Amino acid sequence: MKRVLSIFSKNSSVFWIVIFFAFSLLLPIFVKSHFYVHVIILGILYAMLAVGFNFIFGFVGELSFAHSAFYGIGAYTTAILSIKFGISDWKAMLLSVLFALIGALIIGVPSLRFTRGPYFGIVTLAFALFLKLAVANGGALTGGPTGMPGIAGFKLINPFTGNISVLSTEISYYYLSMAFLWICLFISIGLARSKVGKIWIATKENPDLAESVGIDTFSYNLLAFLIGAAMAGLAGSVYAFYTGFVSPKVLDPLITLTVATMVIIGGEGTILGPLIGTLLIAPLPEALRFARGLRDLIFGMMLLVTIMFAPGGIMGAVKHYFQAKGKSLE
Amino acid sequence: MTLFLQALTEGVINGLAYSLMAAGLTMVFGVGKVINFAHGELYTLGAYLAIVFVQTRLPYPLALVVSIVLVGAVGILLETGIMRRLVASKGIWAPFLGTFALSSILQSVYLIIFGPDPYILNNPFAYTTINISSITIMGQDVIIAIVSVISIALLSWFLRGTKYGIAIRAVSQDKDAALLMGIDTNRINQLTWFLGALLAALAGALITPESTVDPYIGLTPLLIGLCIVIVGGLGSVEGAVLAGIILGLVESMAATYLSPDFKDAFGYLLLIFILLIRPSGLLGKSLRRG
Repeated sequence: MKRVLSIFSKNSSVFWIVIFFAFSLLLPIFVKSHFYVHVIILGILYAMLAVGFNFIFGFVGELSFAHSAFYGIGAYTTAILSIKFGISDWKAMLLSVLFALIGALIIGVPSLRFTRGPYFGIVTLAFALFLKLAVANGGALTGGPTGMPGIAGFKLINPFTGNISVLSTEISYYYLSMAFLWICLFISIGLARSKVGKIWIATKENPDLAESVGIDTFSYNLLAFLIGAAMAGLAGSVYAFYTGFVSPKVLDPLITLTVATMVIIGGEGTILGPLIGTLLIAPLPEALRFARGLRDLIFGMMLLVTIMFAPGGIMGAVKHYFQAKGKSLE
Repeated sequence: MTLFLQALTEGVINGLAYSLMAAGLTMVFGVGKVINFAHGELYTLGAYLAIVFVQTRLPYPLALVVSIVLVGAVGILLETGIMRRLVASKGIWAPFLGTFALSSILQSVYLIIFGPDPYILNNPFAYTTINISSITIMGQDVIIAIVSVISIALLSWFLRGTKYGIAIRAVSQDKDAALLMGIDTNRINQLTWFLGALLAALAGALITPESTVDPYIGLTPLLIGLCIVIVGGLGSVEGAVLAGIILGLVESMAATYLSPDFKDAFGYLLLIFILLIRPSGLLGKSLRRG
């Protein structure tokens, strides 16, 4: 049993990365059904959201409800650029990330400076709700409550040959989103192991102590918030290109709750946690799409049970098991 | 002038109903340091139960009393079964996220039981109007005003003049000191959740005859309540009442003179603005982590 579980330990993370990477490359060979590939792509986008959310929630320890807002900003920026301006290549993606970052600066700078804990949660929630309302009443620019159909596929430009190909198949979006997820993951791993990651942990453990040793906690918290927002914006942009349609639903704070549930069930503040959580939760909305009440009920129950009985999530439980094992061996 | 007086009257009456929501939120925060995100769902439950009891041919006043007491009991259950454990856990976000999960759970339970279609309460008095010089007031608004004023007066008397009320205020001020003086803080928490849930349900049951009820109506009153609670100063019932009336006036003036479409948006903007200009310093100690 110990040998089986040791693949979770820190030294074996390279092993896991290789396994996941091979798996992510080969997955489309085994999954032929369009519907399953669709569910998997949405799952990958959720995983990007979860990895990004983990920065502010897991590493910094602040509960931000604005995550859905950045996802929505990314999706709507792409939609507006594609439909109104005919831009649907990498520039649209870059601008989507940029606008998400601007949104994150607007709400993040004052709220991270002045508020904490539940107050930070309320400010960011009010921001998310306000944005959803504004977009739903946005008239011709945002398409109002019905949304915007007819977003063109992503134009992939081959940097060597200059050939342009418009992505339309599910498989192509699978690889596109998977590539972005890997980038997000590597950023996450790199930062968690760097000095910045250690500063985040220090700030989360004791903000006053961190400040007293000269750490500018506000800047580091803002950095985590911005990284998460950029990842959410990118995920939103890919979503808009993939589905070709956006509506104010992409701005629903329920998305943040779903992502928070994923991160908490997987284990907040860990690298693998958000991925494990996504794997468990992401298939649910599609499986239960015809019963909204049941879906929300299951989400809420899973979240509540986890924070009541296993606040560290699955990764927390695994760590706990290892610590207990280590002590008994001594 | 008539327009202004009309907006003024509606603002004050809405504000009174809002302060019922806010009073419960502020008490629960004061005693348990929990921002109750499921408060809006207790409001919704009050509204649903009032309709159900009126449909079983109970007279409206009696239906009101039965439903708010039942919702109060639900409040006790939530506190004892779930919130107590979450408040005792380590993460500062655990109780907050817990109430958020509860809100989602309750909404879906309502959706499963009552369905997505809006419910309407048939109360003949709601459609009668009263004219005072040039202002027109809905019959139900008169009921809301009278019941709110009586409830707030009763609550104020309870908190100032009774043993349990004084204990609630003592726990709000300093939990440890209250515990040392022999106050059973768990009991006080239960009592506060009972009163908070009861007041939320009262607001819901009072407003129902004027609007429809669906599983998601709780969000707006919740945000309004949060806004009021923070403006009025957390833990202060009198502050909540005053701030409630102010917000009612601001909203009704904004809807009358600016645009009724963005009435909710004004609320959200006001909330962001107030939270940013009155930062956590307002609450000081209670916000510190660890």
